[in-house]
Amino acid sequence: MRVKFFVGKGGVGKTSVAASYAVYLSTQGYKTLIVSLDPAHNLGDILGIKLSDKVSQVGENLFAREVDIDREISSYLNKIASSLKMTYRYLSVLNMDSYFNVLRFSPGMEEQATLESIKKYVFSNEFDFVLFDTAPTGHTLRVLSLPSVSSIWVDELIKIRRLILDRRGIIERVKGKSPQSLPSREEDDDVMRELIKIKEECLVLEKKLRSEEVTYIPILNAEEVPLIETERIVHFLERFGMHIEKIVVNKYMPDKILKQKEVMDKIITSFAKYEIKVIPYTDESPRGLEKLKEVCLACLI
Amino acid sequence: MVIKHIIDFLKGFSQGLKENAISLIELECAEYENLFALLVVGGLVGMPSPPTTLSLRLLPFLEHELRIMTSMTLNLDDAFGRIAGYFEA
Repeated sequence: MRVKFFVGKGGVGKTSVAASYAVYLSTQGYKTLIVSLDPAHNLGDILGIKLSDKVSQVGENLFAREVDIDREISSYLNKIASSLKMTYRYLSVLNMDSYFNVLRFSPGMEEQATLESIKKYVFSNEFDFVLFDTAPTGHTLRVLSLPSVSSIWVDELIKIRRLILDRRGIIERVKGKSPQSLPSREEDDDVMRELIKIKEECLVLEKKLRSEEVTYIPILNAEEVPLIETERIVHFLERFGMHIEKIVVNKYMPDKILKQKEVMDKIITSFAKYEIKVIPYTDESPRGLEKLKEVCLACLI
Repeated sequence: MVIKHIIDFLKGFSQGLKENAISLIELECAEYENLFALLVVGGLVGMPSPPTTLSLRLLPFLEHELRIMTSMTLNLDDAFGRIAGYFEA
């Protein structure tokens, strides 16, 4: 199974490009799923079909889903909250357990929920291709870096945890088991077990996101600000060892906007080692399966 | 009878030595536990914290560490006094 992430600044046309690819791949006989991770969905508008949070078939071999991030957060938090509610079960007697619901507003929850949606598909073999139409740059980079950031934290916490267990072991050998019977061995320590579990999850996901079958396609317009942002995206992806498939310059019209030619030269210089595909500007955005396929055949393949 | 007293005395003495030797390790262990809790739930006191979900997943198991952190926080005013006490300064 192959995965493609379409990344870039808001408004550059990520959804159109991703949808064009998806339509093209499905017509080539590949069972293709396109998933919109952008909270401001417009995938359904571009495909010309009403989409929902469930995977729905929109054409032969073509499936689509607009992820409802709120629902993802809820389902993720239900797992966490049930664990907390088990620990603080007595709160349910006072009907206070519902206050854990405020956790949904914790910083980073949206990124984690998005990552959960990604995980659901990158490890599945249900489709030949899964294409992710992502949210604007900042959010996407935070999501993609989450496994690595978590991994760094977990490594440090494991180090400290080992020091704690080591000290507890010494005390236990001299004084006997503590009155609170605190664990002194890694295999008996719930915290260490959870840390190792998180670490394994992070490693598996990191490895997947860096693997050959997962590629990233930055999209930009031939303008200064999108160029600067794309340079940042490319730098980030390279730093994290992620594979850039190609760069797509969308809505290119050097005849009308002379400045675009100048920026295009900079794009070619900046991304010299990558294949660059250009989609010319059209008065009307491509909509519907036929138009999208035409765009892909004419400009992207 | 006298021998029993001597043995009890020696046992007590040996226990005292052990307690003394281990007290610094206990202090060190408590400080590591405090540090661990601070790192995990540091966001609550304005410290940079790990991704929220990581904190949330560890939180249900951190009762002991949080208790240590709370008691140490309460005694922060006299942290130097506490440390000095350990070294009998």
